[in-house]
Amino acid sequence: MHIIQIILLLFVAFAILKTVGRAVKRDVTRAQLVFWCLVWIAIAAAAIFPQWTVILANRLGVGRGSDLVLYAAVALLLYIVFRLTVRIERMDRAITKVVRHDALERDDKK
Amino acid sequence: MRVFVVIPAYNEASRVGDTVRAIFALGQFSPPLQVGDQEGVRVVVIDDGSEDGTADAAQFAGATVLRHAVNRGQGASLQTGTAWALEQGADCIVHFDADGQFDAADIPRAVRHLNERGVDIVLGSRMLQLSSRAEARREPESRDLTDEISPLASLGRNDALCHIPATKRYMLLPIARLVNWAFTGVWLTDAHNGFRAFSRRAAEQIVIHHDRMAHNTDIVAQIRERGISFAEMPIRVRYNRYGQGLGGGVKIVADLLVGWFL
Repeated sequence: MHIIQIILLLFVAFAILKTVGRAVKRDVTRAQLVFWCLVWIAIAAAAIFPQWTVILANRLGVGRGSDLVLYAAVALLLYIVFRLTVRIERMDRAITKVVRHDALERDDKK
Repeated sequence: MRVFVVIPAYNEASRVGDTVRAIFALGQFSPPLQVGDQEGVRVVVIDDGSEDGTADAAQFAGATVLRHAVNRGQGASLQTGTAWALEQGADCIVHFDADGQFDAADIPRAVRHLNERGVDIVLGSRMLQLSSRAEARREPESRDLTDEISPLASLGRNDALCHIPATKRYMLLPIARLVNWAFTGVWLTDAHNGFRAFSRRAAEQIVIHHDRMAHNTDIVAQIRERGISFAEMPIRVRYNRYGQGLGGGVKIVADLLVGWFL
């Protein structure tokens, strides 16, 4: 086993532990727990059996297995960034409502 | 008629006082604005979390000041001020900039537009031209002039009113107008002009959702969605700063796109 595989497996173990910990504290929903565990297990599988990614890549018409992993990672990251952006904007608007309420309230008390 | 001027301000201590004083210097507007109104125009400045004494400067100049505890953006400030003005019983609400770039004399003109043209919203335009007759009558006793928009409003040739930086006029504004049209379906002569006047009925219908600079497109989109009558009116803008650049425009588009998913 190569060093990179060991590093990846250690990282996956750490990530799964953190995800489960978050789920226990109810910071993430059960559906999110399942999704993230599947993602980490897929990464672990790709680290242990890199030839699987080659087979899958060839089926999909991508040259190398590592390229497929990279494309999938970029797509996933973009989606996560999008979700986070929308969530931040929602929070922003909620904060604005609180700030507005406070501004109008303070004026009422004058 | 109770006219409220809503001015969002962020770190504008050096300019907001003069802006407010210029509005009060108009005194009682000419008829029909002074009908039964003892107070004349009311000015409300929304201090958007400034750190430079903007609130004190505005208050000293005679404005009512509402304070955002933290900076929330121009759109958020306009909505706060508009909500407050409606609470206070405003018949007409004018959005105005704090940085002294707009001409206070355009406020009574906009209110007259609302009344005389029977529309619910007047949008300021840097690109429409006053007719030469109106422009000639504009100074010095121009507060109550009846302006005439040139029938062939010559886009981009409003030199008498505004000295728009060339890159802004010939590059950014045409793109901004196109983007505005793409998002709203309304083709305006100007884009992202912060000067606008609302009747009470219109102000009650429009709720600004975008906290930052995309509020302008947001307002135009709501005008179309709700079928509110509007007219554009030529206004004077003196540039003492460049304002929205290309980066700002990109942020606006990004905000608008994110807004679709909320």
